[in-house]
Amino acid sequence: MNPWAVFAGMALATYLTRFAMMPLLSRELPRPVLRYLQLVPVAILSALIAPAVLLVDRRLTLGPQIPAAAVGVVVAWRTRSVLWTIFAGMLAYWLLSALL
Amino acid sequence: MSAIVHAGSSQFAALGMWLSATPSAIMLTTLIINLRHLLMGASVAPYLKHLPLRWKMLLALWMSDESYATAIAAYERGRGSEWHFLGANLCIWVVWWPSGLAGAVAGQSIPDLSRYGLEMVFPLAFIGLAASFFKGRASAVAAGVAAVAAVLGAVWLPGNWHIIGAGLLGSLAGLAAAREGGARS
Repeated sequence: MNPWAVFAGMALATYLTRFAMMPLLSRELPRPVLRYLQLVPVAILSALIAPAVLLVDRRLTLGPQIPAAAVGVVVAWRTRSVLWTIFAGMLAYWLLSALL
Repeated sequence: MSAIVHAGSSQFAALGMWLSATPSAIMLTTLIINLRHLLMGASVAPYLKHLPLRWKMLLALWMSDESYATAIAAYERGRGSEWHFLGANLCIWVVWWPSGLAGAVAGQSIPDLSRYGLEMVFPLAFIGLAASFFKGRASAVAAGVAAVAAVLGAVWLPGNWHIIGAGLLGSLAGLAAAREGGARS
């Protein structure tokens, strides 16, 4: 099959998931639902972060990335800045990798 | 592929399956990997409800994990707008596919990229973004439950179900914690 046709199918599949909920939820929502939706971003981000830090090829893997992520958490909490978090976390990661 | 699909994890999956799988299997995998965007779309929807349909279609076109996170963080601080969201989306897209192309061209001449640990940038950026969503115990419970569920899910479940599953579970747990805290105070 033409690769461009596959790309188009993938693009459509991606677009559907992104767009589907937006018009459905365009009316007023009850408060508990809003409260729930407010918690979604933090839960999703956490679900993206934790496996990325703790797992390598889907196996629990200990290494310098875990303390480096911990440094990132502290810096993120203190500064609320994405750039400082990346900077401090990468510095910690490189230092720890050099030491170990 | 980067320019028109614009969905990193499904692109990686498609590359892995490219020679062995049928096109429909690749498209279905793309759909499943991106199911988490249903949840993300639902959570920005309240901020977008005043916009006409054309705007929503435009915003959905380039929404990514990263631009979604920056946009909703801005909304929660009261600084968000559809233009901010669109700008975040476009920034990612403008960098995404040209850097993919540059990587494909230059990649062969750089030995062992994994040495630099650049894959750490992704979780660190998300850690930084997550900090702006932290408001009290409910969000801590939501994040904690989602983290544990996602790790367990990633080890034992196939595909990317762990992200949407952990997202649902974590935010439900956070809601329950908020209820309980509200009843007590």
